[in-house]
Amino acid sequence: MSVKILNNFFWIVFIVLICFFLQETKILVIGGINPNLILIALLLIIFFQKDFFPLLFSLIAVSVIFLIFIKFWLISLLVLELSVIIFYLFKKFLTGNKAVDFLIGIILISIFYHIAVVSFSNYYFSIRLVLSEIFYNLIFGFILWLVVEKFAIIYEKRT
Amino acid sequence: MKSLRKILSSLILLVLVLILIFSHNAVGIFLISFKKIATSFFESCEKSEVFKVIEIENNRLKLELSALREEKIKSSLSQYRKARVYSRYPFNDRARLIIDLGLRDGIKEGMPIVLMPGVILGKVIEVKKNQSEVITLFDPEWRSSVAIGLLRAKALLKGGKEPKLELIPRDIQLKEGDDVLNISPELPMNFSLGSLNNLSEAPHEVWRTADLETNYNPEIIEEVLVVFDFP
Repeated sequence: MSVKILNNFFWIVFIVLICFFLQETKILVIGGINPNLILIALLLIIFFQKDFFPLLFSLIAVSVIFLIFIKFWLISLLVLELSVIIFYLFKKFLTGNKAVDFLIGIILISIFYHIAVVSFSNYYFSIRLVLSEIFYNLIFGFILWLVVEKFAIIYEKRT
Repeated sequence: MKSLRKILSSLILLVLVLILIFSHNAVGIFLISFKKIATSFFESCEKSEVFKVIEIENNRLKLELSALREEKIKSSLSQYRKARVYSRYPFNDRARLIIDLGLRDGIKEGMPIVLMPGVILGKVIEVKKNQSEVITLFDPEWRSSVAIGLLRAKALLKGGKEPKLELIPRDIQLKEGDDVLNISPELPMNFSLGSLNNLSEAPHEVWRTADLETNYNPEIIEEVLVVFDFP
């Protein structure tokens, strides 16, 4: 099942922009933890699109949006994007169940991202922070997964 | 007909994308105010009578305090320059801000950033033409020396979502609520960082630890002051 609008240039930019603003304004913060919406959006694109091109385009869109609005923190973003690409290449070795693989992706990328950022700078690693973020990402990601899946079914029926 | 619908939906999306790009600040402010309204609605449902009395008292004290602060700011305006906060680090692992002053405004790396005169929030770590990056004491990379209370017990402040005070000597008597003041040479002397909270008194440990209470929410800071005449 694929969502055709995720193949559309404007839709991808629009979705990424929405995720960026929601993440940056920290409107969804609960207990000091902000869900990683950019990661969730990129993973949704991976699982609802068969080709690499929409993912590549989304990665470019995220980078451009960061460059326009924030000229700092690009290393963190590049680490996140690199994690997503690595996951894309290795996702075929997972369970094969898309929803389960999506949730596994959230866990693996969140852990890889935090470990990679720790390696770049010698800052202290908070397990509580990482676990809380993963937990929040899983809940939020699962809800979004259900919404996008429902949307895909309706769209397929209509076309 | 289908292609017309596609063109129309693409055009609408293009307009939405352009609106988001050119009015991102307004969108951000709208989202934050929406969140404030939503949270205040839920909070108001839970308030008890006792809590309301405390809140009135608290508001009165806040007003008094802000009047005093305003007076203080007016008397030392030349030392500080107001900067607006552009963005916050979007991921969870750091607590950094981007402010709207940069090289063109005379900002230099290491300049202290205060929330209000005398209250340290962070320092500038990277400067670009019109913007600067600020590391705050809520960032896990933050480390600075502090003195606690009237007896000035020396300790190490470790940044994080909940900043910690470590290496507090056991022989100096301290109580919760004691002021935590800066003694690191890269920041102004005796500027406040917050107050002592949750002091641990474990008998088997050589040093004591505590939490730093800051009395403000770093997530909603919209303006800061840059200390220009330091060092």
